[in-house]
Amino acid sequence: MSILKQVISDLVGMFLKDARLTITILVLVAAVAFLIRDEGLTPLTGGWLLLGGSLALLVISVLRASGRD
Amino acid sequence: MDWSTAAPVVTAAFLASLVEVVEAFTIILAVATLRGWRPALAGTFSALGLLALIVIILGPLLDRVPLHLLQLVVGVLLLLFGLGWLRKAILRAAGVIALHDEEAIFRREQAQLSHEAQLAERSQDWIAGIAAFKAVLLEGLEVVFIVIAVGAGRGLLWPAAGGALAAVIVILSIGALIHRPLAKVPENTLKFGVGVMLSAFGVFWTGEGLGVAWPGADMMLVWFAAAFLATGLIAVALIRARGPEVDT
Repeated sequence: MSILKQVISDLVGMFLKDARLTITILVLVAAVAFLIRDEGLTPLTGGWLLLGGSLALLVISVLRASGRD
Repeated sequence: MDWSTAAPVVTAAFLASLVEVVEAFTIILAVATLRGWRPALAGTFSALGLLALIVIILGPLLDRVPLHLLQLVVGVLLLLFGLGWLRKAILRAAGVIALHDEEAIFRREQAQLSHEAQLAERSQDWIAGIAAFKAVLLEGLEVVFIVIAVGAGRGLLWPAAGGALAAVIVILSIGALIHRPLAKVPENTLKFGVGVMLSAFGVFWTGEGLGVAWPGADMMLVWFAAAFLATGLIAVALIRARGPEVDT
């Protein structure tokens, strides 16, 4: 049973290494999807927004982790 | 098969698997040197058997998922997985957190096994075998995910699996020759590179899943990787310039 628990915890941990980064990435993807589907944003513009947002969130996350933001 | 499309997939699967196999190999070697190769191999092959079963059961289900949905789900998971790796690699490269030390993990695993074996004198081989089983299963699941994630979106599962298999062969061959933990592998550099590639794939698949037709199609992966690499290196330089404190 402990092996199963550890496997599940490791599987979850694969995608949730940093909870704040995970949540913000999910919010970013949801926002881009909303803008494309409901607000008439062109898919390609949405794609660039996704790329720029991911890069920005990465930088914010590491600066915060280094305690210097 | 178009190699300009397959090459990034095979390379990403190979490099990511290399990191995972090194980590599993360290534990297997710790088990083997402490209790012999029998429990180490028993645990290893049991885990490989279970992994094969998982792939055989789940593999055919992938064909039933609509392509756009598969790209979106896999893309988001890759983005989370890749950015997680990249974040950690940046923090390690900048000295904020300690580097992964295979020698230390090897010694810690041996100490842990010795302690557990003393508590249960009669089942030492069983405990050692379970340790190898867990290591191979956990690292193997990550390899399976990476192979599916980078390969499924373009129907390149077999080339991706080939990349992962090549990584297993490389590490086992080197390991068989030197019989020591592979401490010389530049693990953080590899993780940095893999984090860059998986994040690039993540943005690419998520975009395609949302209906984005990327200009230049698959070639855009190279530009995405360049963007993540440049951003990662700038982040390392920024943190180093400010003088981080090492957190072990």
